[in-house]
Amino acid sequence: MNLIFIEDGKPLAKRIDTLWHGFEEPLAQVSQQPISGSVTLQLLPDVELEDLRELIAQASLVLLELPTFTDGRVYSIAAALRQHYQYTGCLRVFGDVRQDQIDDLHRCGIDSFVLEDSQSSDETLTRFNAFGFRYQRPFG
Amino acid sequence: MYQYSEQDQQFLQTRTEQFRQQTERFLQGQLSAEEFQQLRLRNGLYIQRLAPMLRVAIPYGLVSADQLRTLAKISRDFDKGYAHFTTRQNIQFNWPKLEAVPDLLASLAACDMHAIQTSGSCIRNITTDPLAGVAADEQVDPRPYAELMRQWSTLHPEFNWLPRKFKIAITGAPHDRAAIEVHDIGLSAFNEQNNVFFRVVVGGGLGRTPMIGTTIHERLPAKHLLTYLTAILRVYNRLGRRDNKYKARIKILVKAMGEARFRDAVDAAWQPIKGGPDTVSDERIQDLMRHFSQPDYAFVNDADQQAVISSDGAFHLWRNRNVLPHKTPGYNAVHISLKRPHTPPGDVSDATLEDLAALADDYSFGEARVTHEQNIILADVETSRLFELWRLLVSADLATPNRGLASDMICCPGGDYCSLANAKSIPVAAEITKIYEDRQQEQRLGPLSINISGCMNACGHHHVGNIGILGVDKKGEEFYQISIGGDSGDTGNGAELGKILGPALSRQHIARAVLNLTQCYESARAEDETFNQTLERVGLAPFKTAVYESEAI
Ligand code: SF4
Repeated sequence: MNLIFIEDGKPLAKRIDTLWHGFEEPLAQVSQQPISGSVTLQLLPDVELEDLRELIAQASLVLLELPTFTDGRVYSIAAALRQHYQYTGCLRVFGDVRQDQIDDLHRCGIDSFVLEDSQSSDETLTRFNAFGFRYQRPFG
Repeated sequence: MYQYSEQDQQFLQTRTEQFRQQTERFLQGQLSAEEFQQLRLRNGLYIQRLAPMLRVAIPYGLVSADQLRTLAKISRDFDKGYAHFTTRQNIQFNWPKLEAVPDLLASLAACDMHAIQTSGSCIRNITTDPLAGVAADEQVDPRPYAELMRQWSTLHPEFNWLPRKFKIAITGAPHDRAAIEVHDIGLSAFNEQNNVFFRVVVGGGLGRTPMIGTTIHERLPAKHLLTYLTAILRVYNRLGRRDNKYKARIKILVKAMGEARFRDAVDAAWQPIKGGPDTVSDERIQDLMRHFSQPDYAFVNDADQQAVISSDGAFHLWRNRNVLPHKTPGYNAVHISLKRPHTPPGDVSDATLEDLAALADDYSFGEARVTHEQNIILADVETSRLFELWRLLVSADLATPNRGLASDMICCPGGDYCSLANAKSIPVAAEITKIYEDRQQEQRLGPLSINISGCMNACGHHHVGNIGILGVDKKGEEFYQISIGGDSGDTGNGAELGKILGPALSRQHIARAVLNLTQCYESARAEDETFNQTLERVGLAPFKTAVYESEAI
């Protein structure tokens, strides 16, 4: 798979072999014990963010799955993480990620994208900032 | 009219080019059918029973004479020379070729029009009172707020993949001419000591599970409009059902959570963004208002003008029925009926669009409005010119004096065009129109709404018609279910859903049944009672008898 990430405001692509490339492996299960250090979280689309407030504050990578490209929940989860929980770490989406949706995902605060091999990363790189002007300010 | 800025124009051009590329990629096999379907829907393009259908937005119903001319030209260049006004202040073309749609969109963009988000699971065209800014009973002009929401919702990155379509309507008058209580979000603006507030209604809707919306905020200060809408949409986008498209509208979520829990969830999503960057300043609204061209009203004395007008009887009939009062003395809002014998409700030819454009230019500051009842309004006509205008309307076959009467039916395209239909609706409307060809009969009946939908999707708003007709399929045969007592809210008493009268009727009985219902009303009514008032007093029984026990059926 390919990872698209943003460096100095520019989208770049590279090959990776784990979803959490560059970060810790996600916790298999959230334990009752306080966790020390930074964590990687993998959130399901029906996650109740309020229950994870403390973990979100500690996270440096949050993985979000897009089960199908028409499932809009991750956009609102990402926006809420940025706006409501002031999450500033890496927000990475994987699953059914398509080039025509990349710009909106980015504008909702997602800054790292895992592409299936069936998706061309060269083309995807050209889909960022498709519009010079938009009516909304981004959440990122 | 709202005047587009250069930014607005560039935005539309970029969007058109984006869709052109997507269409090419699809035609070259680089984009899957499944993916292209979603992208084309968000550009207004359906693939229908006979051919593609393109739905063009007329944001909050305002259209300029030049735009009407462009629509006429498009209907000639890309369609078969006609177009159809819908119940959501949109206009549809029925025969464009897929390959030609990007060019069609470019023609629209050149006159500041588009088809963005007129279909698909996203925020649809914002609708409002067709008399916005001119209605005598108006408290708040909803247009700057409608434009604010148009901008905010256009390609909103977070809300492009909702569980289902999402419709927002706004009104600023006590007589709700925008049917806000049957929208996903309905906003009713009011003024208190020069401050604007909204009553926010959520979870109304027609379709398979019709519901009147629930008020979740009685008094939202205008500055919080966008953050509050964001909170509602965010809750819906997260929690709305995605497993069953018939249970995916926000009304089902509101019902499942209950009013209190839903309100709390919205509040929790709202608090962190309340007062944030999307807060709407007074300056923003004033700035938007400045972008609307203001008619240059002459100071005219209404009383002087009355004398100039003819005493022609037909003119008076039309005037009493189709001319509405205006905020500004000496001006009138003129209702142009698109419900004429021999023409499907809401259908217009290219020639009619050209006629309307010329009349808008000559009589109403170059602007027209589209109503959710599928008619046109020229909102700023001087009293002294009414007679002249009427004569021109007569010669263009646009002077049918039936505003709000039986033959002014709301009717969806139905089985003649729509692939979802259970039954045809246009021929039913034609048969009912025939009954009331004798204009005196419908004048005698007075205001009466007859709404027809070809299936449960309720595009013809049958639930809120005084008489609602719904096409159903009975073992492959077209049948029609009648409901009575619906109200869209324009009487000022709130919206009401009709009650089902009894078993569905076959096609040959339906027009007769409508006649029987109206005769029953006429004989039972006391004085000035409306259809719904009579129904409330006498109950369903006499109407049932009139339909099911009459000789003819
Ligand atoms: S109500 Fe049904 S038949 Fe009529 S236009 Fe809507 S989907 Fe089509």
